Amino acid sequence: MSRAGSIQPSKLPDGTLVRRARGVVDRPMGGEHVIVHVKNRRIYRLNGTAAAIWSNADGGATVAGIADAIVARFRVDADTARADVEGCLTHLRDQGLLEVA
Amino acid sequence: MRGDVLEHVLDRAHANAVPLEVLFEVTHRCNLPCEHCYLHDKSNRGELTLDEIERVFGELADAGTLVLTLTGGEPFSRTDFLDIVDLAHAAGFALKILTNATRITDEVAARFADRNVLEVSVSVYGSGADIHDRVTALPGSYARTMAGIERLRAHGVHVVIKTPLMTLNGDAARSVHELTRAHGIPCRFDTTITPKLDGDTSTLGLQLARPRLVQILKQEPFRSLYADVPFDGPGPSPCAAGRAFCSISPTGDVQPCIMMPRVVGNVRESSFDEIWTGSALFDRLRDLTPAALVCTSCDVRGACSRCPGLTVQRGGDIDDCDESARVVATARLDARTQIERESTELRGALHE
Repeated sequence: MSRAGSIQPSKLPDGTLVRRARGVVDRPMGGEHVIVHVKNRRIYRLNGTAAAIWSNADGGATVAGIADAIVARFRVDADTARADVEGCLTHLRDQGLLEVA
Repeated sequence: MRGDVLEHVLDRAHANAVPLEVLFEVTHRCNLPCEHCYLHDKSNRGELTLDEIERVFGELADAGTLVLTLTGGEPFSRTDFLDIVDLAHAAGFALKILTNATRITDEVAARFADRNVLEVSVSVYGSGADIHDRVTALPGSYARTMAGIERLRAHGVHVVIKTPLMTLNGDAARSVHELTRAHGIPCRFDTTITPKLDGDTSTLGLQLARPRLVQILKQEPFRSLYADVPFDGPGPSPCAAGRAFCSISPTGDVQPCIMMPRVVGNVRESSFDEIWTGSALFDRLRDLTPAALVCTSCDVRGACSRCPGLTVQRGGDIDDCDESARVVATARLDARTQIERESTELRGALHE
């Protein structure tokens, strides 16, 4: 049970589908990923794991599928990958860069 | 755009020689015969076809271009301009569009809003038809431009107003600033008039001479805009031309910038990547450092916004002094000095 007034981070179930939001454009650049949210006129950069997570969020990917891809690419354990993916996707969703369903 | 991230991204683009932003002149045709225009040939000879444009957009996307600026002439002089916008959208660019907005209908504004248009820049030369239409030399153009701006804003498109200041409209800065501020529209002023691209210098007669420029810069909005600018920085750095930016003409010529008329290749004859990576001029621009510029010993460098393209237009090299920028920088410093002196004299008079 959470304490009164605290915010419980939302959980993304394994089968949640993630896709890039409309009005978002991106390019890989020098080992990073640059994203522009056109409507908000904001620019973001993702490096390392976050860029890999973004690259896998192609509309047909699930949270579990992206975590598996991160395990395979970065040779991290499944629990760490799952937590990193959830944290990253939640942040990207909160910025309006990703939609989850 | 967040400054810190943008700065980092530009640095990465420079370091990796990525053409982060490309400007594409879709046509040189225009429906407004503006007095100060730098274009000399406004024909449609040899313009790239839609098929060619689609291929080039793919090559730009592969090269890493993220922001594509579409300009003219007036882009809507091409009847297929919205098809070009659709191709750019499909290639995944954030779009900037430069237009006089006289042909912006509700349908066009709605299409822009749905096509990742980051901003639309519109030239406005005064806060009323008298001055604006004098510069465009076309009665009625002010009303059409302002109506187009309203339609864009009604559809949520970000609009930026650009106001070049010249002899015809030098005193309009304050009223344009007040007009745009009242509507919440960003406004950018420019006090440099350029020669035509064929070397014809007749437009330079419209350049504000230094004494009048100083008087204008002493007034609002510049008085406030410059109030907190120290003007004592290290001086200009090399711009993005050829480093993270380049331009493509209506016929496919690739240049470091539209202001630097040095063609380094044509996308009809070579792939964009071959041109971007194989140009000796681009290599020189990428190797340019602030220390290599002649500005290091200049007494007005802190107030200067030099343009290497203008030095080249005047027969100089990319690291030479931009004399027109030096005039503006000197005027900025003169204005600052005179404002400070007048403030001191006023304070002295009040104490007597």
